[in-house]
Amino acid sequence: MNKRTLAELAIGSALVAGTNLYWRRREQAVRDGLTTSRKRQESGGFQREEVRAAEEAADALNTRPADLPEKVEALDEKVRKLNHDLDSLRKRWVDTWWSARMQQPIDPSEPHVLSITLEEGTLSDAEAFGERTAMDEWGIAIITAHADSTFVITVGEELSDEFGAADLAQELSDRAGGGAGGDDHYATGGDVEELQAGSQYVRDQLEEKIE
Amino acid sequence: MSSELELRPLTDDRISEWETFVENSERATVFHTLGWLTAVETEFGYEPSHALAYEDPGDDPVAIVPGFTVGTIGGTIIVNPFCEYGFPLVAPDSDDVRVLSRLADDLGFLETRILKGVEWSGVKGYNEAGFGGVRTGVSPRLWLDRSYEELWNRSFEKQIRTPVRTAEDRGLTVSEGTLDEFYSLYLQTMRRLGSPPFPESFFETLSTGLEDAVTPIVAYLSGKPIGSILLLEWGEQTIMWGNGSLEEYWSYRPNQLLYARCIERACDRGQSVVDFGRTRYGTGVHEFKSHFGAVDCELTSFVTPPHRVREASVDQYDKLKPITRRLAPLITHPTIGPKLKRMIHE
Repeated sequence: MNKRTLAELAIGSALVAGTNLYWRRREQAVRDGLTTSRKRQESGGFQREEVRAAEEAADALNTRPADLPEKVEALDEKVRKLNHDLDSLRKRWVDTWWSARMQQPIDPSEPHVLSITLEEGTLSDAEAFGERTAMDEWGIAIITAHADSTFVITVGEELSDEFGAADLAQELSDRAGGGAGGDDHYATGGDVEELQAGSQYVRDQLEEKIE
Repeated sequence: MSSELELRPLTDDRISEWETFVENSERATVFHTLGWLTAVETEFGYEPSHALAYEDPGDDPVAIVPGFTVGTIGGTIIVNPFCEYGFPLVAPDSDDVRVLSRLADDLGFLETRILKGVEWSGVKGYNEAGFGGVRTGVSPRLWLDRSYEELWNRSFEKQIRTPVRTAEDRGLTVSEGTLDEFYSLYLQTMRRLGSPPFPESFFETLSTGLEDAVTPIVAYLSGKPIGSILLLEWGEQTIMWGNGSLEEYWSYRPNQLLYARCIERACDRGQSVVDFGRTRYGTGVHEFKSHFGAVDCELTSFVTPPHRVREASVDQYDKLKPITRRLAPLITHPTIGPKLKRMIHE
């Protein structure tokens, strides 16, 4: 193969490579260009009404329009949690109502001991019950919340000379573990290891004394 | 299938049709006016290739398309140069795809047509008509459907309000200035950026052609001009089209004060929108403009034939910035600068 043939081959190869490169670049340009024009055809841009609506929403949520997605996401999460809490609360309320329905009726004008067990309840639930049972003048209530091992004890006005809520709570805590505190009418406790047994013990003691 | 549209060049006997079309179009901008087109033709000597599209001879046009034929290496480009909005104006009841397809069919072998589009132009059928697109930046726009006081309180961010107060406290004043004052500041800014400037005569011609629509607004410190914006106030739009400032006075915040005053002026004049001009997305300038509460409108240049889409790209100029800044004295020379400007037509 002489020099001329080699040169011709080199030129030919360069021409083929150049042509190939040109067409590839051209094809790429067409593809990119048409993609961009298609996207533009599909998008309408922001309308003034849309922007103003976003601004109003941001004002209502006390944030900036740019932070709306983050704010809405946080709100959505909060709503989901509240919905979950509501479902849980509804179930606990039904369980509690059913449990109360199945107990013996009491005479509110005679000294009595009430034991309320909230299997899935927390201290907040027990406190809500406690606010109500505290109004029961002739009653002592022991409310146990097993979801977080807490309890509330209330002593009605007519029995508070004889029994102190804080003393009863301390007694339960000494017996079943954890800590407690309060006053003559209302006391709470937590971190109780043997909640069921402890509350039963206090209840038995009280019933003996009342009888 | 309807018959093909007829394209006719803008000649003296069609000037009134063009002007009427522009006046009656809600989407028209100052860049569609004869004042703008004449100034570009006069100062840069491009061959006018403006066209009117007709359904039937004798009827009113259904579209007008501004454009100049600009020579490039290995062909010619038809484009409305130096502006953000070189899109066709199409009558509301007409099919934009037909207009665009007709424009594409009308091209010669080595001709390229670039149409500078924007979302609110009302023209969307570029893809269907076979145009390729290339993004060229964004144009932040502030709608003036609120009073200036409301804009100040609700739209302007503290990054604007605080510097504006600073500028006022330091004694800066803003008022209408002269083209000479604007041009001096503009030229210094172009030198700083290493960007070819328009010749001063272009602004003078533009001012003559557009009359009251061209207004330089200047910020003064003890009577000395330290910043300026050129406003194009046409129709219901105010476009902040050119600006310049002295870097050594930036601590006085002339630019924030100028922009705020221009917006206040537009509110007082009953304009419906302030356009901040083309900006590259994500740059410091873009961030500055966005603090005024403006909404970005994406700018796209549409090109036919689509394989020449790179002709409309502005990326190449960004890549050249490190070099052009070094060559600024040459690039911005009063003789060389305008010639370069004519060549790059951006």
